[in-house]
Amino acid sequence: MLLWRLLRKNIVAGQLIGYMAATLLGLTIVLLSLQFYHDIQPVFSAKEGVFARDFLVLSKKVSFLKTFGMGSSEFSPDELNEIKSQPFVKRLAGFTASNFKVYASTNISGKTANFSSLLFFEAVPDKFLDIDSTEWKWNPGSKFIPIVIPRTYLALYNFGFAPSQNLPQLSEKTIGLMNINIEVTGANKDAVFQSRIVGFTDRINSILVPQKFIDWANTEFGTGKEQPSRIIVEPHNLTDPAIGKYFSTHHYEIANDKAAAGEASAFLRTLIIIVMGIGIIITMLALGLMLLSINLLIQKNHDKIENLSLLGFPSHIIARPYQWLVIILNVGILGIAIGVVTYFRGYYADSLSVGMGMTDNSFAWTYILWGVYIIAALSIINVAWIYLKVKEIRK
Amino acid sequence: MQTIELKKIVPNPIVDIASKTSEIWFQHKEFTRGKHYLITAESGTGKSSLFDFLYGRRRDFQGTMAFDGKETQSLKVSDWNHIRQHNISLVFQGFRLFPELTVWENLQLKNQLTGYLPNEKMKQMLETLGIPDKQDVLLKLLSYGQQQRVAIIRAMCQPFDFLLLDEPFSHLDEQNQQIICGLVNSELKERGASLLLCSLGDEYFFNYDEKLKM
Repeated sequence: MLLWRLLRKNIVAGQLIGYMAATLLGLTIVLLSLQFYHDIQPVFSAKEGVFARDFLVLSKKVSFLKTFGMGSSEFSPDELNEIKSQPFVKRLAGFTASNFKVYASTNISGKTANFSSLLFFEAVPDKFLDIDSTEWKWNPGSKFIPIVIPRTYLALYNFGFAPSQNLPQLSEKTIGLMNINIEVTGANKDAVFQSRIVGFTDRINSILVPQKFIDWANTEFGTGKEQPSRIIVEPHNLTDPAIGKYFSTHHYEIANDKAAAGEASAFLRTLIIIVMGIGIIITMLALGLMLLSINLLIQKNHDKIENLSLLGFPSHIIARPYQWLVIILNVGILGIAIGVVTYFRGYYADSLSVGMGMTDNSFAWTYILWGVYIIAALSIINVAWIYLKVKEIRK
Repeated sequence: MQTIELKKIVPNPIVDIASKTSEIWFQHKEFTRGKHYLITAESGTGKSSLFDFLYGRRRDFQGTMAFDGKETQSLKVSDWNHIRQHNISLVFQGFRLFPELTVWENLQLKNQLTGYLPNEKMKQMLETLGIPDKQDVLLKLLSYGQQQRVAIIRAMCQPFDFLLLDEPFSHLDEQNQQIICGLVNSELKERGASLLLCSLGDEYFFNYDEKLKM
């Protein structure tokens, strides 16, 4: 305490406030961009997110004539080969549709509501799907069919259907726990399967089951093989302008165009990195400012520090009041920065969770942890610097 | 610490002008714990330098010095801190007190480091030296002579084997000198410590075992 009373002289409040403000600004920018990057990471990398690895789903335009069965909406083998030969196409596959009747039934919350509906299934080869679930498989003889539905269907239920029917809203997890009975009929045969929704997709606007099941069921209950009416294409580079040109001249329709999303993803990433860089630069400049202030302060108190060391005070004890000062400042900065970031995160988290499928908008550790790392690093540098400068005085 | 040995030391700045007849410079000289030494010197012959060397503040001398046979060149910063807290106490010519603290805080600063004197003892010393009313006064408001007394008391706020006094009582009248010498004497006796006193000629009120001319 006495040491502090002695050494606090010549501390310039303006310099400390300047350091606090600058570090706070820098740290907040760094943490906010880090947390934002982390929060939308699932959107970047999620296989089913807006910025998913990009596939295109193609179909032919449904025209007036086709409604009356004149002209085909199916892709002929020739057409498929032609598309396949385009230089921008990496690989493609046709959708396989079910050729049999599907009747699904379930109940939600015990007896509250019984659902039953006619359904259809489609399938694409697994390599075009990125479904994490270990349940995504089917073997002949298995009585369980995994199902993947578009995420929009769930939204349709939660925000459209459920409120109007006084039914509970369901999260992705709870709906995945629901058992569904599937009755398959065709070719004078029928069979009953158990089923569950094991995943969601934003990419394909259809109810998907494993390719193996469709192939088996189509031969068992179906009326023979048909040409696909929709195909899924993986291009080498989604931003290739040749893609759009080719498809429009051939009157193919691209379902939910992802080309723009791909560019937006890269742009957003770059933007975040630039903002983070600016934050880091501000933080470094603030650190520089603090080190200079420390120099000045210790030089101004040169005589006192020398006298203290002549009294037998070790350098680390003389340095301690200043070290505590910067540590308390830094911890204060960290606290404020975390508060500010939490506040801003609340702002964007709501819109993100609705708009981009950011699932976890609750508590997050990332920025707090990084804040602690950065402040610890700053404090260590400051503390070491103070010690060295004090030591320098006692030759 | 039992002995301080000087082995032909001389300050670098006065190597050429230092008197060859000096009983300190260029000599083998041993100071023993418990004995009192008076070192008389004229201005500019390096008496403050000697104390700076003994206190580890300066190292610009030729020859070597040893504490209990251990050469001082081998001492680390932490060793000097220990010596300054436990073995050697020095009253600087300029006192090196802290003007922005009170008298009491000046004493506490040292005493908290060593934990040596009880508070009552320090108060008693202030009383003995006639400045008990100054206890909570800022040091910068004291007269030079009063500050000198505070510096003496602060030097007592630690254990020591050797007490180094550099022109200690120059600003005090004879009556006050007598009182302070009495206090210092009783402390020296109590601790069995040595006195090294540098002066321009005054012997003050001490008994010396040896008188040396610098």
